[in-house]
Amino acid sequence: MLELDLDLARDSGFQLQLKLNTEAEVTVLYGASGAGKTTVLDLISGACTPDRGHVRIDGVSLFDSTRGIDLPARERRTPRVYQEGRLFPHMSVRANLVYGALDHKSLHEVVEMLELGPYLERRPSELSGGQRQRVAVGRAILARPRALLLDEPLASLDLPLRYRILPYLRALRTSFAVPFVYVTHSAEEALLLGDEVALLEQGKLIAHGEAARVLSDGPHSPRPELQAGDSLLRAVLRAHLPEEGMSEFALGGVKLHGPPLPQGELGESVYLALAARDVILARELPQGLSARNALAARIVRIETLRNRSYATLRLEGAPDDAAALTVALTRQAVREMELKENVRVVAIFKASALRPITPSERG
Amino acid sequence: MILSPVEWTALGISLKVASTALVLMVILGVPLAWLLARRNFPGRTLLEAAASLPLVLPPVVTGYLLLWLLSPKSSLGKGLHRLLGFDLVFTWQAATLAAAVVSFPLFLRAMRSAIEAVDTQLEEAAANLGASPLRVFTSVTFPLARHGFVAGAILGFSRALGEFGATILVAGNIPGRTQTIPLAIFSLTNTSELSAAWPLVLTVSILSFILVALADRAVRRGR
Repeated sequence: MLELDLDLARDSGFQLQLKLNTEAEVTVLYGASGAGKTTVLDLISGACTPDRGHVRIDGVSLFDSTRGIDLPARERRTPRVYQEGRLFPHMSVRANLVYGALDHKSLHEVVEMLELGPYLERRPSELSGGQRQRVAVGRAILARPRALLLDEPLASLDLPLRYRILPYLRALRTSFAVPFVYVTHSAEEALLLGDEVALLEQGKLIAHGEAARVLSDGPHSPRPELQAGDSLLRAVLRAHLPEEGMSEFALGGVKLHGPPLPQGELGESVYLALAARDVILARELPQGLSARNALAARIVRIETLRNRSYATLRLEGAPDDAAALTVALTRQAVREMELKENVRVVAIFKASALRPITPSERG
Repeated sequence: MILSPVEWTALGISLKVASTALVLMVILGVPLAWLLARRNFPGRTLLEAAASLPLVLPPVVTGYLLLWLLSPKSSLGKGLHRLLGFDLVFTWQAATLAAAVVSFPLFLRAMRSAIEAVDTQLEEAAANLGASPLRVFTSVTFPLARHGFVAGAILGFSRALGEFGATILVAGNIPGRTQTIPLAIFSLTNTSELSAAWPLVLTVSILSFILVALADRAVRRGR
């Protein structure tokens, strides 16, 4: 259980106000740069001190302004994995790994899981970027942390490499019951790793909850890597249809057609992004339709932002906790079609409009 | 080129004085370098200036001030006499002190700039992994600044080896007791023919050359 209640005002005018309680194994702090994500890690690890509030992990107070508790960084046991690794350049990989180790028994296990065996006697300068980050993660996990703080640990790696590191992180999280607090501005990483996403904007918590829901909640959520208004549907891969050049997904009772996903395993969960501008609404199901998806839906709300209207839809037959679908419309269309709350519509989009978000390389 | 027994003794005294001075410089210089590189505190600028002063002050002036401080008539001198059981002035220990004070800024500067060059982010990472401030220093900061330590130690030692002006004031020029190589050369040029000092001059020159070359190498390695 991670309990955060943080108030911080910087001389620069930056203000952070955050209240967050979570039991998630991986909490992703997500938002654009300058939103205060790294500051939150600084406040947890003791690199800086909040003006007011508390930081508690599993009931242990690391900071509490009302009780005058402010543990120094070295006593917090909240090691960090930084973007640039920050390995000790004058030490071997082995010495780096055990630097903060409280018990050396797990060394073997961690080395095995991270596949670092062949590199133990090397210096960090002799490693690739991905290997370095693995050492950094291993070093942190061996310090028996109360929580592991990861600050864009994959940002300095190129894309294919990123997806090769993610499985290591997932394996570690499962083996060592350590909560992760993971800072990223990548929607993919947030979706692939996060149980819960906390969305930060200008030092404030905008939304917090299950990853896909937070990342696709309405037209104005700031998602740096997704377009504003992109919907994220968490669907299950049901069938490969190679001859049709498509694959079939299920979202509860809703059947979706998307682009082929030959390397995907049947039954696997996949996030599908759908741009708001790629969806057409009709009051009734049109005849002779080329688009492969025509889904019955109900309008939850209509909002207008900068001369553009956005309809938020709930798909009929989708599970209750499924993300809503956002559709961009002209104001004229809203008027002429008399669209408003609770109106039943058909949402139409091509199979190719669905963009699966999956690791492009599996490790 | 053979040194006379007195000259061998002078070489021995020089090495003893410079080595002991180096030990003093390290004991005081390493913590002070860290303090100046990493901490802000009141009086910092003053301390910085005081520690660097011997670099710009004529050694004779430094020697004069030391003599004034340590003389058996001063209160510090009296205290030291009680503590040590003998008067410090005109002993090899006084020569050591003079050499240490004059050479100290060289060691301090090299050590300090090497510590400043160590990435504080690595120190922060070490603290996050549970390391105490002392462990952060001994396991991360110092090893990464070791080239500055080596370079500073060699420079400080060399300077101590060649110290003349302050030494002659506080330690005198007593053959066999406080006469170091530079003092011996000085005596020889006063009493004998100029060429009589050649063996000592060459000894010092070769020794200094080797030391400076070593210091350069240490600095290059650190880059």
